Amino acid sequence: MIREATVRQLVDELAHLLPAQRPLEAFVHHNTLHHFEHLPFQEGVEAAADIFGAQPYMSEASFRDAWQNGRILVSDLDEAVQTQVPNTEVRVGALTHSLRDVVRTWMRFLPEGDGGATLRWRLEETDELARWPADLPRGAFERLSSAGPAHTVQPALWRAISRAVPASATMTRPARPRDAALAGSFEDPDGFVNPAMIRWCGAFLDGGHAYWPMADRDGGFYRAVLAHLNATGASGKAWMRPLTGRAQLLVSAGTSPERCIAETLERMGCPAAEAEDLLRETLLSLPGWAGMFIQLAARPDLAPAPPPPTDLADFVAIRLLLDEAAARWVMGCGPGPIPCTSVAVPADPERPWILFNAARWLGVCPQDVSDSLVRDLDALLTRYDSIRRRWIWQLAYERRYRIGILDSVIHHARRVASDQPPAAKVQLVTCIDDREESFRRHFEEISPHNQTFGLAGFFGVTVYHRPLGEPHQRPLCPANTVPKHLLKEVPADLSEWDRLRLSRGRIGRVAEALSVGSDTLFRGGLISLWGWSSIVPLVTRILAPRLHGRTTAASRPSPRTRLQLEATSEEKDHGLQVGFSADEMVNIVRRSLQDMGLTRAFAPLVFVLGHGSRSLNNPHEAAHDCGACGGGRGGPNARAFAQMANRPDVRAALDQSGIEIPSQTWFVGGYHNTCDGAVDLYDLDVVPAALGDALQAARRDLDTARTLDVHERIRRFESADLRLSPQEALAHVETRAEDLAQPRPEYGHCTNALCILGRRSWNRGLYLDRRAFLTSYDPAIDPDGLILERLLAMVGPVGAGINLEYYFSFVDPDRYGSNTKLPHNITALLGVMDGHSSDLRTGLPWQMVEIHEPVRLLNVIEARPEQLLAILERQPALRTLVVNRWILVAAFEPETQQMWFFGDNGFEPYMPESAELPVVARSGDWYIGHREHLAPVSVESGRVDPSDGVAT
Amino acid sequence: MTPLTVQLFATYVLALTLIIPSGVLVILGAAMIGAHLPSERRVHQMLAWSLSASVVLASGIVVGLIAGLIEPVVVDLGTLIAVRGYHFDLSFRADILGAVYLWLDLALCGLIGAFSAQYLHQDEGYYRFYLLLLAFAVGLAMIATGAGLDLVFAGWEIVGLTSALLIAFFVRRPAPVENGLRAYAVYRITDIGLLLGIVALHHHAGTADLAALSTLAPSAAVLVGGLLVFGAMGKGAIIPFTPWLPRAMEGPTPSSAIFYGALSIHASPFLLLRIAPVLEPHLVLQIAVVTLGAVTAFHATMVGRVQTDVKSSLGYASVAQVGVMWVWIGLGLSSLATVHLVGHAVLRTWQLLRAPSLLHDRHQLVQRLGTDLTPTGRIWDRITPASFRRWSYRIALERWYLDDMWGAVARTVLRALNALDAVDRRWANVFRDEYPEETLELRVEPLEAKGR
Repeated sequence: MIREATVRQLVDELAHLLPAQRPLEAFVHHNTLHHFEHLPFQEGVEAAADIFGAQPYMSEASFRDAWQNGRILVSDLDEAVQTQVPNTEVRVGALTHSLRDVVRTWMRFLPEGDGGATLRWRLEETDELARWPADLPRGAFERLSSAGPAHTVQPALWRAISRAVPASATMTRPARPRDAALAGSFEDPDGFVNPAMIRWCGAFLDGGHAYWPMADRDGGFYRAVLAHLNATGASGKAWMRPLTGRAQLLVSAGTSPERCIAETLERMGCPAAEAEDLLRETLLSLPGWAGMFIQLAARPDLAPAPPPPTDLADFVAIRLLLDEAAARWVMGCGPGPIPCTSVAVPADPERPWILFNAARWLGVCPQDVSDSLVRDLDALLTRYDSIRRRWIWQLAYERRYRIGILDSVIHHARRVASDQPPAAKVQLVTCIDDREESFRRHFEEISPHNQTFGLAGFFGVTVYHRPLGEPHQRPLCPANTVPKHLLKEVPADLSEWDRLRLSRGRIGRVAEALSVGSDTLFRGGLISLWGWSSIVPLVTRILAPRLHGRTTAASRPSPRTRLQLEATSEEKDHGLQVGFSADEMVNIVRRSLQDMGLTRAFAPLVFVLGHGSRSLNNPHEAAHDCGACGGGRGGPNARAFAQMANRPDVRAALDQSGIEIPSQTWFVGGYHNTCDGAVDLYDLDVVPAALGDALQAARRDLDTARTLDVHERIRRFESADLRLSPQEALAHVETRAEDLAQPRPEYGHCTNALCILGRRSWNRGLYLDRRAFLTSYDPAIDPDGLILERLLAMVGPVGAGINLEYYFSFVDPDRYGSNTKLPHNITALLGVMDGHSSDLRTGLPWQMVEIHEPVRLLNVIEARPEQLLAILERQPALRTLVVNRWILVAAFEPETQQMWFFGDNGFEPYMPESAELPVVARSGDWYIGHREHLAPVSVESGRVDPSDGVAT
Repeated sequence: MTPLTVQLFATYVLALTLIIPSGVLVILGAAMIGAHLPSERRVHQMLAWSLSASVVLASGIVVGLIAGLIEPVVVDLGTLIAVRGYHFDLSFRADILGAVYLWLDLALCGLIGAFSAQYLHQDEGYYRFYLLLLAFAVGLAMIATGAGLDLVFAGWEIVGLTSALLIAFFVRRPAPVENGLRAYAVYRITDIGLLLGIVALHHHAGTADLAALSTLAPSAAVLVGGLLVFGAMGKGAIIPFTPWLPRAMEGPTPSSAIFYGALSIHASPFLLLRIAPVLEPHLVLQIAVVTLGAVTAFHATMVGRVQTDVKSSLGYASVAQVGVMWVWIGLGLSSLATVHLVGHAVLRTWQLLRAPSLLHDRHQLVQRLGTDLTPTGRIWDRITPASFRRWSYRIALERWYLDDMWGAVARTVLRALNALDAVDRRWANVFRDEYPEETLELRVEPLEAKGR
């Protein structure tokens, strides 16, 4: 029998294969294949595809569409082929080809498999072989047609090849007893085990949905289920009956879950050497639920209610008990090892068809076909199989986007190199989020005196935040940080709050009674007698969502609040320090200002906007919130930051370290709702009166910018008319946010592809189509690269996490994503199932990613290559991402417009392919009337006139 | 206007109410068969306008009936089939009950149609969904207003078929298709009751008209009533047929809302209300209906309380209330049952449509309360011993093992079919040996699972 310690070790290792998705309300983007990052990207995604049975890249058909649409150009394909295929010649039949030509031909024309039945139908019922394919290359066509007409040559070739293909079958040994049962064409044991596991996992992990919670949860899943199995004499499930006795034994002997696993493996007859395979396949049968055990153990504070202890070994122990019972039952085998003999996996029935086409497109004639030719062709096709070809496609696909960006960055930087920025009147700090790119651009287009900065949207304020009147706090900081401080909201006006709290509480109690009661028998009966009154919200919500939303919002006044910012003595709450000490505030403000390079030339008004997204009927609502706030809404962080920066004591301390904030400068915190486009500003009542007019003007600019931002954004929604005016666009997104029927309230990070890290001056006015994370960084104040290092260490993994989650959810919506939202069913308040009973679906729903382009994130960093290399040496996590190419990196020097791209041989100078970059007056001139992705362009509006340095 | 012209006018109104959606259904179906797909927008506008028009017309009838301005409206579109003694009449009658249910059907289907325009936007099954939704609305209108039980049966079958097809809406995954099939199997089993009930009614009364129910002799009435009650069990997920209902939550959310929150499931108590004349005079039928309803309500509320996913708990909550409606009907409280039915249908539609907002709504509730939600189910901790709680929790979580019972039944049937299949093959081989030159291409696919 395997030792318990070995079992524990195996389980802990395999745990890494499980999806690391948190409970829905704390959703935060992460690399779906984080565990494979130690491998180069190509190896990693292909290894994972193997283990998970998933797709590593888009389908060949999608790439061919991109080729047809001009998204991939000849030069891209050529270069990708050159790097991946050696420059040799191959002899196929009578002809000699360049290997690169062969691969290129197959990439473009080799049909993808479409199932044996379809193939049979096509061969038997259509005249597919009687005509030459339209896209046959000239050489192949000439050679084939010289041998005779299509209707004789092609069938002859097909017969010759299908005869010559050896019908080999490979032998595999089933990993799980379930696989053995399937191989013996018995009923699927998982058909019995999965529903039971899903039900128990739901009951055990439930965050408070069920009216009647499961008992005995404190001892963990394993003990809870054993108690459950012992609860009734005999089970009503015939297959589970043997388990009752087993459960009693396990409980009375006090067997640990690890030992239980080892015993079950022994009973199944699984040799120690194969235990890992069996356990891996067992875990991957319900990866979502299993993964949740790990997540709740790691971060119980993110669960909707304090979770019971969750240990993956518990899950495995129970699963194996059930697996064994179910397999024995369906296979009808008594005690002793479960027969688990190797089975033959038949060869791919489509192989002859693919080989036939491979030969046809190379102009192989029937008389050329020999066993050795088929063998050679088969070997070549194995080397350049669909996955390999799609990798080449992927490189070409990414290359086109990259060239477009690098070229335009160079050209744009050259164009604006001599611009002299005027003194800023308003500075706007937003999150680095790609959705803020257009907001910032429009704000800058209004006036050259408007400046913007990008800083990770928690603004250095790492806190748990507790809104006024709420019982719980949630972390607002990057996902892997656990805050030590609590940021509390307190009422600004006590008597107002008291009134409000009373009425809120009354409404709340009625709402609670209704929502809980309606599911019960007697109360539910009474409530449903009055249920016809629901017709009112039903009609207004569906037919006039915006009006309904406004009315309900108006009936729900929110209290005026203040932040309890200053730490008072030793006040602790849940073990957290309430508020910050003066020193802590100084450190936060100094560090954040330095990070974004805002240490001098302060404008009179500095707006700091956090962001988040509110939408209805959207279980994945939190996925649209701020990633830098761990999937929370960053308003409170911005508000706290602004308040800290306004404090005289903080400013005095900053003076000491050389950051002089002029006394008339005022910071205003705010919140940008990226779904309905609203911008709310906090604490306007304390803005100095002297800034009144400036504030008015700035607010007008913000309003214009957010409206245009919305206008630019809605062009991507298929259901929004392209001719909507900015005001109509605003109404459109406000409706979307309130629409119960809207599965796409916003597109979130969809289309993200780029991250720019550097001063805004050289990329200000560059149209980046809401696809770029923009991080502000000023090398001038960072001689030793320390700021750059901490920025990269923070932004690199966050950007990679977002980008790669979109990548994988797009290329395989079934395995990596959670596919269509329409049947999603929230369970245990933790995640969604497909319909009534399924694994917890992890990853992004299709409606969130459908317009994404799966490319790796391209990072353009304002730094010298050697500086970046030095940082990579010090930051191993970042180094892994860069060297293994999970993110792509380019170093850029704006003064000289020199660019280096990090390729297979390290940083190499990059020369632009195109000669110039188009210029438009305003962003609108470029995007209006277009649905598709747009190339970069220089925007003239809001630019400083280079001749005299005066604003236009 | 004289009462007579008012009545005549109402006849035309009812005819239009029924014809408009049916006509649109035919047009949409023809367009889809002819592969001339209109735009998404056009389809949902067709549905919205036709159903809105019908709702307005139906409102007129409801108001007229309630205000006593008109008598029950009868529309006779002629006889579809007449074979010897049997004739299938296209005859519709809207009394208050029928008109109210018709109005509910049209209004909720219209709202769901409006909802789904966004919800299913760009889904590959968009057109299929609208076709099925409209077919469902028409089928239910036939149930609501069919003057004869054979017309009701036709509507009943349309509703069953669209229901099964919408459960199996996501055809690329096995679970929806399997669960759609399960629901359909339950429907077909209980449909036997409805069909035999109609045959028996024909046999005894010479017609399937609902009015004939009250003319039956007592023994015939019990037989007919019993069969019809059995027929109503499937759609209402009455015990022991309950397990299909939670499994039906596989389709898109709006279809779950309208079928299992609102209309399809309430077709069951509606049918009972329709046949109330045979139930009321017969104690045995009343006891049967009350018992079935009460046990179902108890079962559903017990099982529903342990469900951890929002759609299953709403599904069981719906069944529990349907059980209560059965009790009302069994007790002869038809009006109460009708009010309950209408209110419940609207409430559940609203709740199911909101189901994906569960986290959002819950958060808002906590915000208002300023505290966590009050823990539920604590009273049982005080008044029952732990061992009993554990036992009953397991029974509830296992849904009274009803699923397993049906699994065993299905497996037995499958075994029998396998045996028949073997016999069949043996005979086929005999023939093959006898006529060797005739290639008897026997394409009997082996049954997928051997089972036990």
